[in-house]
Amino acid sequence: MTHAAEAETHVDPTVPGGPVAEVEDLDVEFTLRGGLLGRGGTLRAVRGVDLHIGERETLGLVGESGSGKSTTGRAMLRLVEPTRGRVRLDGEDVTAMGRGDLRAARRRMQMVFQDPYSSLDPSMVVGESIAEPLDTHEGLDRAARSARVAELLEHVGLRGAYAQRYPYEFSGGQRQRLAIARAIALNPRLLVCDEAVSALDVSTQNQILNLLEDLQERFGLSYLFIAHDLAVVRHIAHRVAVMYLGEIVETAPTDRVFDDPAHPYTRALLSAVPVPNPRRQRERERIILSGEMPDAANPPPGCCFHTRCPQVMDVCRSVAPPVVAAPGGGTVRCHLHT
Amino acid sequence: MSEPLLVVEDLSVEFATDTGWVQVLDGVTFGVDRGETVGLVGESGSGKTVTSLSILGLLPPEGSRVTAGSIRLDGVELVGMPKRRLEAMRGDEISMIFQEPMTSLDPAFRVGDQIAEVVRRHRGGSRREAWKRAVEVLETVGIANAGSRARSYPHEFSGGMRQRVMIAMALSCEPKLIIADEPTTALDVTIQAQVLDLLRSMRDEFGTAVVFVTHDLGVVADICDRAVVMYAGQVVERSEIDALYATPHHPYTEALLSAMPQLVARTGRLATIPGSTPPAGSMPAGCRFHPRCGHVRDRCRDTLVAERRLDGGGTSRCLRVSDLVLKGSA
Ligand SMILES: Nc1ncnc2c1ncn2[C@@H]1O[C@H](COP(=O)(O)OP(=O)(O)OP(=O)(O)O)[C@@H](O)[C@H]1O
Ligand SMILES: Nc1ncnc2c1ncn2[C@@H]1O[C@H](COP(=O)(O)OP(=O)(O)O)[C@@H](O)[C@H]1O
Ligand code: SF4
Ligand code: SF4
Ligand SMILES: [Mg+2]
Ligand SMILES: [Mg+2]
Repeated sequence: MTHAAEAETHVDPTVPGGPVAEVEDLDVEFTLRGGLLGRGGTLRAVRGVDLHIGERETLGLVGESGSGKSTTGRAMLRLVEPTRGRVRLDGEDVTAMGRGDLRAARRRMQMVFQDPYSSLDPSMVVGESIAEPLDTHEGLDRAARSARVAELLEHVGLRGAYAQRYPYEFSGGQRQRLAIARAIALNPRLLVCDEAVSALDVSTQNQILNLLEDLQERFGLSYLFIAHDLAVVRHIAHRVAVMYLGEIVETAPTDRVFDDPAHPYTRALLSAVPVPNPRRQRERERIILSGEMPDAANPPPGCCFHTRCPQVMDVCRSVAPPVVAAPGGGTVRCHLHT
Repeated sequence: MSEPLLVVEDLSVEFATDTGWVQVLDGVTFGVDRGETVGLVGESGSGKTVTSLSILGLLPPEGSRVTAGSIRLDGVELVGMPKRRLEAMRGDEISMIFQEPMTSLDPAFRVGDQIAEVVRRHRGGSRREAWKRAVEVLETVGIANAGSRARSYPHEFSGGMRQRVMIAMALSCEPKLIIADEPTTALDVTIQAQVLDLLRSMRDEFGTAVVFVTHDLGVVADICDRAVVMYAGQVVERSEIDALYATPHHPYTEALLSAMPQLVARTGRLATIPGSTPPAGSMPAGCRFHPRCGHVRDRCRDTLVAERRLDGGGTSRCLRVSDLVLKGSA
């Protein structure tokens, strides 16, 4: 554990003032119901996660399916209860809050999902869906309420008159704009975007990404941007955290992660993304990982990546690597760097 | 020279809607040679899946109709072929891999039995032989302990392994052609890389031709020899792969390439294509891409544009193809 202390005190220069959101040693466990053999058990979906997100900062969270990205995001909003650890929003401990305080805190952190239908009621005109959080938290009079809805629609590049239409009358990209309008209705500090552009065509995806950047600039928003598309993350994130089997295995400013990945998993992940240029793609060095991510209910001992790591050493099979400062910035969790 | 393995010629397809029949494919034409992988690319709704379902003879029998065109596999006409004969060809000479393998695998049967069933249906032989073949193809696609894993049910496999099982099933009768519709879209990039690698080695080993449907131009660059770019139910460009990315010959291809976010450091805002794809049944007059095209001229708005052959062997459906120099991907 030689470098651990150093790694923990590593302060990222991209965070001015204090962080907007801070996650410390977060654990989330799910209780599994007994299967055929009646063996229940627990699944640690998130294991000792540390994160921080600064003002106007976008932290990209990447990793394979089932690595714990959504669970991390949901635990930060306490949509799922953390089993251990702390989440702070503007310095306030969200994990310790009672119902009332939590309700107030939820104004300041909102979520945007892949499927905008999950936040738009198909039986309501969209203006009503967007106004819903206003009704819960602000109690505006009729005129102020519809003025605010129109204003929100314009913020996301839609016409105010659209408030009277139903969700099915909109395209996928427009529905995602509506979901964003609803999410920013209460002037949140933090948006957790969980695969928010994954279902969209590339051009529509880019329109939404540009919109998210504009809103960040304009309203000083911070984003936890969860995505499996690494090219999208390279574009939108200021820093990136890479998750594997519930752990953050590497985190650093975006350019460092992409240009000089320190963790063998990050290297494999990046090399697996095909680049849209046949000549360059043929010449690229590719690391094809064998097998798949192990079952989260049965994580391997030692380094969680050792079953697939091309650079595995003896020590990796039994000793969990500590988090250490990575060359060039950020941190990495790998024996190659200790 | 003899005809390519697969020829799709002037294919037009209509679907029934509340307001009558609407055209969703308009004169789709392309060929696939033996052992070749051809990418079918375009935004959602451009007609990729309808094209692949047409080749497989799997368009819904009610509510859809082929209004023109021909689809020939090894010289045999598939359009209008009796259902029984089509069924006999499917799985044998042509097979398919879809995005969500769970919908194509029967959850109630062991995967080995499902593959063996395909083998017996097309090749006959004993149960034992068919089971042996199932285990053999599961081994070919890299399922460890194939002998015992063949006894597992689909839900006992992960997404990536189920896609391997689908590929094993598709390969089991050594088809001449595989239609793969977004086979890696639901997979993680690490697993996608494994599956693409597998398809590549199958092509090298067995000479199987593949129609690879995807909206991901990175995947096309990785696995395809040629590409067919579709927009609003039409083919707008056909090209050998290196040429397509280096010097596209249709503004839509150019726009798609410039919109692909890259893994390299960011340079300003992401490019977008203004507007959105037109819904079937309300296609713009003239060039269908004209409301979104950055190179549009007045004549594009009312002149019907045919696909033209180009010197390099490709085609383009753009009036301005001879006076435009379009940007490729860096
Ligand atoms: N409610 C739940 N009960 C039991 N296990 C769960 C629950 N939610 C998530 N898990 C498990 O927790 C782990 C992490 O899941 P999570 O949804 O956070 O992954 P993810 O990284 O968001 O994946 P994806 O990219 O597929 O969205 C997985 O093993 C998953 O099966
Ligand atoms: N069963 C159907 N009934 C009516 N229209 C359909 C049907 N299937 C597809 N379409 C229409 O055909 C067009 C092409 O769709 P599709 O081939 O699925 O596109 P892609 O696979 O390129 O995303 C779209 O306009 C779509 O809405
Ligand atoms: S600790 Fe060992 S097994 Fe884990 S990533 Fe590093 S080298 Fe690979
Ligand atoms: S025909 Fe005209 S509008 Fe259509 S792609 Fe060519 S330049 Fe653009
Ligand atoms: Mg998720
Ligand atoms: Mg499709």
